[in-house]
Amino acid sequence: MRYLILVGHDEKGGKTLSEEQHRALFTAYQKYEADLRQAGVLLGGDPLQPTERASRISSEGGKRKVLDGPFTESKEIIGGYFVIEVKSYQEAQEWASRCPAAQLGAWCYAEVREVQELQR
Amino acid sequence: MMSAADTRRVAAAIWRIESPKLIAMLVRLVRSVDLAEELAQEAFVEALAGWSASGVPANPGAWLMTAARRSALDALRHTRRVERKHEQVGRELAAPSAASFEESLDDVVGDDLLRLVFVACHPVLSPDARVALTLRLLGGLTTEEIASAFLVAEPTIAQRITRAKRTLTEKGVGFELPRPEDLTARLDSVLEVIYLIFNEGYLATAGDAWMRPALCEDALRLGRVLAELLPEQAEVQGLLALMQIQASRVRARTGPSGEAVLLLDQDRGRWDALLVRGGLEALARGEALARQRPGAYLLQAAIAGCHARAVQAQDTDWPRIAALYELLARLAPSPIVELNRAVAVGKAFGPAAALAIVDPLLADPAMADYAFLPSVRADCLAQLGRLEEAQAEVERAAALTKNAQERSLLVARAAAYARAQTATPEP
Repeated sequence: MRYLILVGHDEKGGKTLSEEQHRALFTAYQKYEADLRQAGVLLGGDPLQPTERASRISSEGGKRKVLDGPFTESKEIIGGYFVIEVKSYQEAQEWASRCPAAQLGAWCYAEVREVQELQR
Repeated sequence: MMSAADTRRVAAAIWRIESPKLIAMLVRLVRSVDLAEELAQEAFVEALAGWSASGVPANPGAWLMTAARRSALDALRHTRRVERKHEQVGRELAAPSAASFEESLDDVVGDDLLRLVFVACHPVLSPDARVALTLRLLGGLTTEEIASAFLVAEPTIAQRITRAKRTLTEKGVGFELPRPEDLTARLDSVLEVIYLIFNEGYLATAGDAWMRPALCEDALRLGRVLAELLPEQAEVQGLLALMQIQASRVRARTGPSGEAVLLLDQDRGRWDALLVRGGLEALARGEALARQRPGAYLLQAAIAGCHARAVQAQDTDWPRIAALYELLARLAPSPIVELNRAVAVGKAFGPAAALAIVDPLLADPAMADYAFLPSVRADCLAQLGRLEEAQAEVERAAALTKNAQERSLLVARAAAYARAQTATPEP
């Protein structure tokens, strides 16, 4: 079964990190990715650019509505994702628990979601 | 605090993630698959007891490694005490000294895993035994899970694994990495095991379902692990590419009522784009590594890649597929490969060229019961306007096939050829 691990954080929290903390975080993610890869469960994933270059597009009364980033009013943003293939939900949850975002305090989190297989 | 059931579920997940590394490390220390498995399970039970009270630690893997090393050290101390009692024999057994133990802790996990891969897939074991042992030791599957995947009784698998471990001991199989001169042969055995697991899922030889995707996923996982362990081996990349591209078609291979849909008739929009991409990437890595000398897996992956790149069936690069089959036929000659080559040649260069390859296969006794041969031949003959012969061939194919769905397709073709004959009577 396929799962998405979403890395969420509050954008301000990420910006208060010192350069050293940033480097440590980068190393932690490298190790995490290597662990996923070596376990043979990683299908894909990437970090995402900050929301300075992002837009939320919706419609209102049939008209296009574009909200450009950074999204100062939203508490949390998605900072990256991993796609994994594992045997059970618990295994996915266990991998999500090992994501650096799950281990660094309340300003960030890892969210695990099962990918829905569409029967077309 | 977690409920007992929660702890058990988390434990099963952690076991699947950690047990291969754990067992691999222990095998190096205690030089016995059996004992290593026992110690890993002990460490696990100990961990569970602790975790149900205090919760799962942030790094359960490290926790387990430490606990397992401790019990391995205890086991080794015990062995040495026993040995000391028999000192007069003066035999230094395989048990490592304390110094080498400390040293061995620094070894990379990767080497341990690779050693375990080669042990589980050792050629002294039967293919069945290799498959079961590999899924158990490296796939982290329980005996029960393996049994249900292969639709056999649990005791059968348990016995197969026990016997395999005994064989390893009796034949004195070492736990060293293969010597460079043995690597190709030993690696072939590993690749064969992984592809066997994959095909058992992809072509389900047992049971009602004609696919068991869970086994495909297990094989893919093992393939990815192996590709990480041996990143420079072209054939490992080839197998991984082949499996991923084939697995990308799983959703498209069955129609609404569960019937088989052949490659050229599949809705390519249903192919799994993530697996196609992963497959083509592995193929590119493999081709770069092989430099002009691709092996059999890489060639098959390249053929699968030609199909994967074609947005529509009519875009397929048949001349290239025909050329790849020719290389494959030279490397691993077989009438089946030859027949597949004929199909590609037919698509690329017309039915007469294909028939010239197909006809000699009629004399091959290995092909006497193979329904695909008269089916392909019928197709060539029909395209050449030899409808009466085509009808006879497709009827022969229908009589040979054991698959009911395939038979009804062949019978329909026979009827179509018959109709075409009355529509255009021979002069």
